[in-house]
Amino acid sequence: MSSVRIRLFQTESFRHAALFVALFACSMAVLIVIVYAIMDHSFKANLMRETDDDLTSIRTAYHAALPKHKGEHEAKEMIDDRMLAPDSDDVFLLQRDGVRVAGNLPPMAPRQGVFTLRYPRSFGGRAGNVEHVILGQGILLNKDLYAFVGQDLYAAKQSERGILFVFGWVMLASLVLASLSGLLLGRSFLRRVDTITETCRSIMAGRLGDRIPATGTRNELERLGSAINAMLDRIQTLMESLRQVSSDIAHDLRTPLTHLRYRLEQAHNAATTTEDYAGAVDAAIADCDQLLSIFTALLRIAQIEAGARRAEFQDVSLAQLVERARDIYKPVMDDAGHPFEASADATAAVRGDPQLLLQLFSNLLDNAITHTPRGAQVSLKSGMNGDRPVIVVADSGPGIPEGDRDAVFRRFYRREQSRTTPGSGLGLSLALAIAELHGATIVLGDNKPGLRAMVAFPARAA
Amino acid sequence: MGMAVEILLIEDDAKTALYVTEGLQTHGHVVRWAPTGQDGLIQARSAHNDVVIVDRMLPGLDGLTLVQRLRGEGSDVPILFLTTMSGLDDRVEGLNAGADDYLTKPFAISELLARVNAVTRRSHRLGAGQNTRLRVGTLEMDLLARTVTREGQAVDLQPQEFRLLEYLVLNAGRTVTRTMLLENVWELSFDPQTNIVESHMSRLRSKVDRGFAREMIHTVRGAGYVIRAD
Repeated sequence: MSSVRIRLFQTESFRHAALFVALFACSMAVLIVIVYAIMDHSFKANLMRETDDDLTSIRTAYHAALPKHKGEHEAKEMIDDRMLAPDSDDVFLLQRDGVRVAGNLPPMAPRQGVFTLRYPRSFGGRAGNVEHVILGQGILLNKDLYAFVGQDLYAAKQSERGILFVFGWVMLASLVLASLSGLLLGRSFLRRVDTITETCRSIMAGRLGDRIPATGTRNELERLGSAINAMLDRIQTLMESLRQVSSDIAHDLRTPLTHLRYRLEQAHNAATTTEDYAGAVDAAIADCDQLLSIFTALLRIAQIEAGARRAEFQDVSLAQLVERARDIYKPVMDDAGHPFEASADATAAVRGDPQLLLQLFSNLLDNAITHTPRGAQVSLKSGMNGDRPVIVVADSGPGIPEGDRDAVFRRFYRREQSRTTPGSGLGLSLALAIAELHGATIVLGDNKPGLRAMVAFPARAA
Repeated sequence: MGMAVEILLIEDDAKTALYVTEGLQTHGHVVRWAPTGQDGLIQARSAHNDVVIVDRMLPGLDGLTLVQRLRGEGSDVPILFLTTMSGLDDRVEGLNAGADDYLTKPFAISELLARVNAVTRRSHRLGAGQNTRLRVGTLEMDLLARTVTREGQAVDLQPQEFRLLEYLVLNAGRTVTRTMLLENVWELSFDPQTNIVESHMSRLRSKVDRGFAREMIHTVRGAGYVIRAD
């Protein structure tokens, strides 16, 4: 568990969360300083304006009354009036020769201008649990008479403190919440990574079918997991195809090799004339060529299934390929006695390998020629089936019964009726491998009469 | 077939080397054998060769690198790869390295011979500059106007037939094989199960030879086709 905790603090998501928390705290602090400065500035400006006004009225009252009795009485009355307001934080002082005439502050040494005074916790009927700070300004009305107007900042300081207190708590709570969510994120991250690691170990241990379980979310780890799964599927397909090829080679080349050996042995035992030997050698060479063509086809299927060609796919117009196939096959069809027509829809285009696609067409056409009697019609068409580009090779020959249609794609599968026709038995397997490389499907259907092979390519994203 | 061609064979398998050497010598060619890539490179640099035949998988210096080096040094000797590497991209890779032709094992001596003849011929033609008019006996081809005449009479050909005839005429007097035609005329990298070459050839023959006293296109049994002056 302790190791889990250590790893948790080392996870990327925890680090992100911690960084985020630190940034958040910094910006919060800056915000508080700015808010505080603005509040303080506007409060003091307001205060100065008020005390200015008050002092101006006192001075006006004093000077207006000057001829009569020097205005001291008017100034005192004005201050007494102002002091009637209940719960006021305003403070006043009018003193003559160091003796208070009016106001609620103790006498002080006269000072002109703006300044701050500090008084103990309680003075002049004011209470509190910290010192009182008073901000205000004073003027000398004449050489003995001094007036001071200000405000006790006690209440303001209290509310300011309250605001800072709230800010502090909010900040603390956010820090705690952010850290907690960072930990949680880190933990779920760690759990996913552990699952992936365990799956990999299990696969390495030989359980090749294991896959990383999906959680149904759409986060980056889930995508990584599904990419790894897709990669594993691909690798498994490749391994499967390799295994298939080696077993095909092992099992199916055995038969023709046996035939070859049988033929040579027979020549060795029974041939007497040079012609006999020459005939046997020619036949053996033909057998070898057949074996080699099977070998080439198998290797090519394996190579196509490996999918490396996909990197070099280009835009291919099916119409152009159909035209090429028609030019190549028209004379062959004529010679084999098959009425042949090819038609193309110019809009059908796919991404692919033109050489391989031509080989796909060619295999299907070869198939049509080989497995239909003279006179059977053969057609090659390209076009769109809904939004999927398709090519269709159809003939009016005997067709393939529904039950056999999947089996013909199997390697070396040859239907009983076609045992005597030439071919490696790999043509359709190769065609299927090429189609699958292009994400296409081959569907064999009934052409009524005959066989209809439709290669349907995936719809193209606009 | 006329003059002797001097051939350098770079091949590590002694059996294949013997088969090739004997096969080519029977047809009057001179073959020297280098069993390793290094050895082959030295011989390719030091002596005159009409053709170099190279295996791809050689001990020490592999064939692809060898060919790239020779071409890098400015050598324009005709080079033919002879290899078991028959993958989809191997051929393209070999030709891109600077080889003139690419033949995969196993092969018939007749096929190798035809290709050796074709690459030596190709180098002569390049030396003489590109010609837009070709002529064999009474047959003339205009490659720009895409017209063909025999004894002055127009021969009307389909585009594919024209390309087929062009390839035959470029190699006039020398046998071209079925695979060479598939690769060069139809640009097919695979061998179809049906008689594509035979069908097209019979159509071409009926247009070029029918109605004339002597045939120009001949079948070379077990090897391929050749066009000769009438």
